[in-house]
Amino acid sequence: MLKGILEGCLLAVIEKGETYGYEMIERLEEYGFHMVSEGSIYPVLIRMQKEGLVETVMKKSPSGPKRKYYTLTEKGIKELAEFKEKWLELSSAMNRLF
Amino acid sequence: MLSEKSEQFIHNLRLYLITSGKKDKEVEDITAELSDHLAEAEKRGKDIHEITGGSPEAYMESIKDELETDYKGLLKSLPVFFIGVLAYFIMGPAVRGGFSVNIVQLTGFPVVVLVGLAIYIVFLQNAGKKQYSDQKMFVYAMISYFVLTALFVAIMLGGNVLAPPIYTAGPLANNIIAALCAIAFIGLAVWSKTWFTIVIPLILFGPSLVMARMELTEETILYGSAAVTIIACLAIMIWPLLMKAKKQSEN
Repeated sequence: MLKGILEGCLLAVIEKGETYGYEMIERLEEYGFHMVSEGSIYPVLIRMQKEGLVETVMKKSPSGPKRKYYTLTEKGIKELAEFKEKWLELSSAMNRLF
Repeated sequence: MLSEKSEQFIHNLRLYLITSGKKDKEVEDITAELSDHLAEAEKRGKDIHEITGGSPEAYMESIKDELETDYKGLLKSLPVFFIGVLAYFIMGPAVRGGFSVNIVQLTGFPVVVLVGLAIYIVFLQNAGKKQYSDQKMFVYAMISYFVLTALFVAIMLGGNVLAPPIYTAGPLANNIIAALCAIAFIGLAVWSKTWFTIVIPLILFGPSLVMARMELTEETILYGSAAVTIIACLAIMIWPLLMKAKKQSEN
């Protein structure tokens, strides 16, 4: 389940605008996701790309080497909407339980 | 610029992924992405453990599991590998004018090549995944060399004791075999984009060519060159992989 949640988080972060790996981690930390170990996003990103949820493009970064930027595909946007729905259901159930 | 520790991690990850049969392009992509991440993280005073979550080994595995295995590429390189090793073993006798083969060598050779390949893949994968130090890598490489050398010698020399030759080449056939081996080496050089596979046979079989024309017994020539031949042959097995890893790390 945690893996699925991380995927949902990444979909939501990427939806806010084109971004790259390190920036995603920074954003997640800003939102309070300190429990996510930095590297763990990459296997998930690889899978998301394979599933066609994200599109990537290589661009020159200000620091020099090329950097991989991610955006959501149509399928990714749909997946995010489904995730949100499931999450709201789950969180309201959790809230009732606690 | 990455710290030495991070560079080492990226290098090991690349070695591990390539020896796991992952596609070059995907390996290049993910290692470039992680290098970028590590560079950003180091600028902010973080270190590699925050990226791998404490276990580089488990982390590398999680990356490996998500990348596609390039079975087609593996299938393509297997015959090339086979022909290369075969050429190394038969060029010597052919150059000395004494090529023959018996049933033990004929059946044992492919098995030993496959065992050798398996040992090297397991060794290189572990070296990458478990972050071997140079010393440890050297010791393990030596152990692998030793085991394989023993196997090859057992098949090639033991075969001679156990079974009579089923084919013995005449002078013309020996020259043809030697020429075919030379072609194989050139082909290997083109395929692996390195001069290594041409230079080493020259060093190895050049002296044999000369020695065969001197007053030496067949056995002296055989034992003299066998040790060097085997070591070089094993080096040839891992050389293309290491070159590939090196090239990518330079990029």
